Amino acid sequence: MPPILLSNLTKSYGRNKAVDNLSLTVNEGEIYGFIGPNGAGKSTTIRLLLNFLKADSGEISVLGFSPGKDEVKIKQLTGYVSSDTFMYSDMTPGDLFRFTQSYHQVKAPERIRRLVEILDIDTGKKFEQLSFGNRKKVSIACALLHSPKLIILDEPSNGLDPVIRSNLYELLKEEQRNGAAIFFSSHVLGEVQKFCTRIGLLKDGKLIKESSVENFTKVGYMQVRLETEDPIDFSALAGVAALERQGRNLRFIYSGTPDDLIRMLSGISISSVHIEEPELENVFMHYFE
Amino acid sequence: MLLRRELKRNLKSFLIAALICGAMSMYVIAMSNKMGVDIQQILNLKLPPGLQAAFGMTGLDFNSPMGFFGLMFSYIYLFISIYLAGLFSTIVSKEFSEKTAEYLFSLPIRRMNIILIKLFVAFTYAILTILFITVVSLISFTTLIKQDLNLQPVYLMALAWLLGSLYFGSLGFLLSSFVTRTRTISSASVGLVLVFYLLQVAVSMNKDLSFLKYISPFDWFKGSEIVNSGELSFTYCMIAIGLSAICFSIGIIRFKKMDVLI
Repeated sequence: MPPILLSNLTKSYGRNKAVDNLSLTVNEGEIYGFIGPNGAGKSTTIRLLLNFLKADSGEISVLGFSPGKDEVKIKQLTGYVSSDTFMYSDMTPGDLFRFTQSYHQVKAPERIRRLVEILDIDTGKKFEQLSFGNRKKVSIACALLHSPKLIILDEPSNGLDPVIRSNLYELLKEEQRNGAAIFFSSHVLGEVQKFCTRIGLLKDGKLIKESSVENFTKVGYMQVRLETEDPIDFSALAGVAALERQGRNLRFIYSGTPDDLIRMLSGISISSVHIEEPELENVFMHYFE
Repeated sequence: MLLRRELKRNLKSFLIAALICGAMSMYVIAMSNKMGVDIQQILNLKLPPGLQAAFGMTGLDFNSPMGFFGLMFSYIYLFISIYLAGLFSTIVSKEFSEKTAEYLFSLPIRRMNIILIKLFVAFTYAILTILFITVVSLISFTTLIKQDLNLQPVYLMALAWLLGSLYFGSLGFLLSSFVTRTRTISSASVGLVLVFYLLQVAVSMNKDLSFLKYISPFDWFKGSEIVNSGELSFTYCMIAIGLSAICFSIGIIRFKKMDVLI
């Protein structure tokens, strides 16, 4: 049974459909990147998985359990990092670790020590005295201290400095090697591209594209960078989109075959040209522009 | 852990409420001989019956310490009701307004258990508050009043405080399952207690409004009736228990099904 299995899931807030007939699967040991603009339905989907919200229709299976019937079993085996990091403000990180541990019925002082070290957590202050980034670190440590089989992260890198962000990804990769599946929502597309094994793109509550990271950017588009003194208006050419010009340097997305592109460029005076697969961000922009 | 946390979190408000009510009760009993006589003299000057009723003075013998304590019954009742309306209205909704609900509900514990633990804590403090006031009152009567007194009305008053103020607690809890913003809901709950208190005053002053008697819990239990009859109305006890049970049940069901949106 895959760790996450959603079929025809729908959730509305009043007349607004936040999740619309969504079906997806996250397989064992997979790092699934869930991307989409604000309001696409990413956080709603995550909250449905944890029974924070009740679905209007559709089926949800998390680690083989139904959130409505077996929420305790799911939460025993799942670690969750919320995008809004709110925990008990009068508690220190140490208190929060003890509080969280007591419900997971584990005592893992070594693991906590390691998490504190990797994430560089300031354990001496109360939660309310910590910065947003430090609160995020405490929240991540609480989510991981019981070695969950499924890790759900909603914008986990928000507020983290580059070193801790890198440590977090190393830590998550280690969890993946130990057999955990990771469901990961993020706006930092470069990180999703580097870190995830598969990506789902959500728009208006619908999954509009899903594939492996390698295939995600193979969309029949090419990213072209060239240098020219020719004053030609590239935006008027067929297949050219997302044109950016900086002096003699141009950058655009070209949709068409390489033959067509070479034919198009043949009449133009060009100093240099780079043709490559687009980055995830370009693909993202293509779907949302 | 949650139980311990909730007990600690609500300890301060319990201590404040219990100490204020206990001190008020002890002061009233200590002063009952002197102040009771003074009040009786004021009554003898023919204070209008409507005004007597409004202040809960009707039918009380202020020459007796228990009669004077009967007058203070409604003020202690009002104070406990305000405390419990505030406590019950914020006990669960605080997790939503302080945005900690997602963290708490992500732990492997049933949502129902969380609600029941929180309600248990609120009930514990409700009972402890009334127990404290009752014990202080009994000790004060036996040590400060050098007379043989029938203390049974004190026990009945304690029961009346518990049933009446728990009804306000249940109303606060129910309201908080509709509006989870703590400030709004605690103000609304306390406002509701004051509205019911003023309604009771209006009913006492105007006999044409006696049909409203069933609405305000301050009309269900009165110090004068407890002191004079030595009993509580069984009907009103049942109404208080029944309505509280309904409000708590609806509140629990609503919180259990509520979407966690922060």
